[in-house]
Amino acid sequence: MPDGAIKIISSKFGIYYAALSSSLTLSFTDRNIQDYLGLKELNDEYLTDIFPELFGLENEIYDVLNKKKEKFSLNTINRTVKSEIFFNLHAFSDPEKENSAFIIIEDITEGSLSLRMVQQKRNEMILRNNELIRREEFITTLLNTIPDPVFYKDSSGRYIGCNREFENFTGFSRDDIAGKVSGILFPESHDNYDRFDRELINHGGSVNYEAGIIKGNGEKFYVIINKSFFTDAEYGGTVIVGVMTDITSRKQMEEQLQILGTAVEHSPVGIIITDQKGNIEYSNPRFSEISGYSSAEVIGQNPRFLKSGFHDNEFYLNLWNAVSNAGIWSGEILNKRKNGDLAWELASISPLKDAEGNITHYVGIEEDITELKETMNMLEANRGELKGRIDTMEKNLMIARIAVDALLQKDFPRIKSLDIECRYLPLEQIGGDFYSVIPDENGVNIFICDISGHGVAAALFLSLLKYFSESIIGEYSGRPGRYLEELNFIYWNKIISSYFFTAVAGNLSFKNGMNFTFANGGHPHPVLLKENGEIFFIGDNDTVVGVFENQKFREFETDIEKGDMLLFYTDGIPETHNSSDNIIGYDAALLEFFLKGKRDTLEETMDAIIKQIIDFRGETNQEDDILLLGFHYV
Amino acid sequence: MASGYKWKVVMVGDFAVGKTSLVRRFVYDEFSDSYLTTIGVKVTKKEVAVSDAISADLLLWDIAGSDKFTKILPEYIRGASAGIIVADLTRRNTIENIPEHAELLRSENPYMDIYVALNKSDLVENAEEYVELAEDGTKGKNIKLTITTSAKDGSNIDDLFTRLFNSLLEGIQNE
Repeated sequence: MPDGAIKIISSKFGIYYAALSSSLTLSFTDRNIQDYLGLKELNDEYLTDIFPELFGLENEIYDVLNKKKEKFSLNTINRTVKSEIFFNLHAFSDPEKENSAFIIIEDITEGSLSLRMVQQKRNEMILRNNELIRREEFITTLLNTIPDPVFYKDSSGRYIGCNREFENFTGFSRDDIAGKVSGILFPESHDNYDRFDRELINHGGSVNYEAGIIKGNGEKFYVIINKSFFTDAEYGGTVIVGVMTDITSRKQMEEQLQILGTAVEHSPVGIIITDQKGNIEYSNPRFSEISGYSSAEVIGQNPRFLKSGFHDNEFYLNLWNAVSNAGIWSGEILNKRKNGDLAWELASISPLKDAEGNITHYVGIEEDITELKETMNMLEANRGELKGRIDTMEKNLMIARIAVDALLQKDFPRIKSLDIECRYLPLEQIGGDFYSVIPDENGVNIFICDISGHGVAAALFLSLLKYFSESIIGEYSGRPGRYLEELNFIYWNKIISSYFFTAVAGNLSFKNGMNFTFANGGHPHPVLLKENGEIFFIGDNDTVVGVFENQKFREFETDIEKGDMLLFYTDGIPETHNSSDNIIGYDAALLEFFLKGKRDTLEETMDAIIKQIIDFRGETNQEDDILLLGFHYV
Repeated sequence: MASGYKWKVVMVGDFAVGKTSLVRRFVYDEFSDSYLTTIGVKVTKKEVAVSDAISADLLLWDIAGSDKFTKILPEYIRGASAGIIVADLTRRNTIENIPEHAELLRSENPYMDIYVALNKSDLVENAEEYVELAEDGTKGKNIKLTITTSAKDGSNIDDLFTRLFNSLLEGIQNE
């Protein structure tokens, strides 16, 4: 190639060449390469001394020299000569000569510098992006480290993001809230949110307010929201940052305190609260009603201004000792009202302590018992008088009991072939059981009755009954039905209307053998206990005596044979209870009861029946008078 | 002193991890904060004394940083005795990419000594904690040494290269 052409190729296209021999030495025909690479005289230089970039690649070059490969290239080699140069190095086999090759240097400085500029910008951008990502990650980590819910919104009120605690607290994820306004997420409170957002953007600074929010799961919570903002062109000029503080527990406590406060305000007892020095910090309306002092008058005062002077120093010393040692004092105290009146109060004083056990306040509770005390004093005064009256009544009752006892018949007529026995177990109170056995020319008239009620009135009624029953027996002897009708008339017409009685009236006649004619006014049936062991109730009963006008009583007659026993009793026997709440009763069980008690003599039989009753009753108290009246035809 | 050995050592790693700065610090004991992207390859020679009597020429191949868009040409790696994979301690992804660079080096020379330099240790606290992270990623890849370095303050750079050419010398003597 002519030198001119080579010069043009080198200077205009930046391409240089050298010849490579089989010994990897270079021979240069193009002197321009010396200037390009900044080398001195070059001749027969070893390849890798001139191009250390080919160190280690000698085998590749040999392949080219030996024509195993046509070409080997190493691109984009950077060197600094006078300035930076970039070139591609190519080794080409010499097609005309064995073991020979050409080294072609292709200058690519201009393109490489341009490429570097592009690469540099790209790399710098990536690094900047990486830095942004890193900062974003840092900020996200920072936000997630904050233990309170944090959110941020753009100037139109749309959420941009939030921290993890916000997600946990509200139940909305970052994706849920992104791009949404508070009206969608928290519809109940969004008016407030929007108002405070506008206030913040218009006036700057920061705002904080309380709000109730409904979480994603529907639960309602209370929060304090602190909001501030900063300017950022990307998000419409302003970014609002908010931090929520959960005050649900505090709000609940406030609500409880409000309930307690209302209870204290409307309490029917007076309440004062003092500080630890005893100066009043609070008094409720009831205290003002009792003491006459308004709340404003007592705040800051020591309660000692209420002292009446009634109690001595020791009283107050004991009071404070009890508060200190037992944690409470309660008792009655006489205080002085604002108008000078004295007021008895049932009071208690106890300390309030903080978490460390230090006394911070004292609470005094008082109830006005002045009227109660006056009433009690009056009652006390009356008690003596009442006691005297009671003593008199008890004395009268005792006399009445003696009188009733005297009314009861102790001795019975002595009649041949007829044994008569009576067993009477009265209650402590005066009872209403009565009986009489009065002889006439043919036999005896028998009367047994049970008056309703007990006590002195029953005793008086009983004495009247004795009087009337005995005074008319002569007129109605042998006609027991008429006898009861007359008594019914007397008691219905003339005696106290609320009293009545049950009774059996009868005539035991010896005229033809022995027979018994009787009428029954609501009384338990008489029992006939035959000598051969048969036993049965006799007759029937009509209604009680002294209740209905013109009451009629039927008469019944039964023969009594030798050895028979005729038994009369009052309801105290069939209604006897035992501890198992069993009752003897009015039916066959009662007959069996009597039959078991049958002995040879009436006396033994009566005792055996009474013993059975007492045994049956056991530990149970006697509830009614027990009367058993028996006749034995011997 | 006789210059008996010549070793090709390639520096690979993501862009802007400090490969050029490591070479400049080792060869010229210089450092510049300004970043200039490397294009292609720049070979720098340094003669080092490997013993009292022997020196060696290290040919340091500062190869343009690579990523998923810019791959390293295999002929740059060919014939290398050792490779240093450089990562940036301030960019975790450059540490995570170390195994990929190790694969490239191994594909060209399965017996190459490979070193890992976790650079810019002057910018992080507890730089040593990252050594474990890098080692976890290169388990089974027969990495000779993983070490933190700083081209800025020179930390561990002489140590890295001394370990490198001592190992190379040892390899030759064992042959």
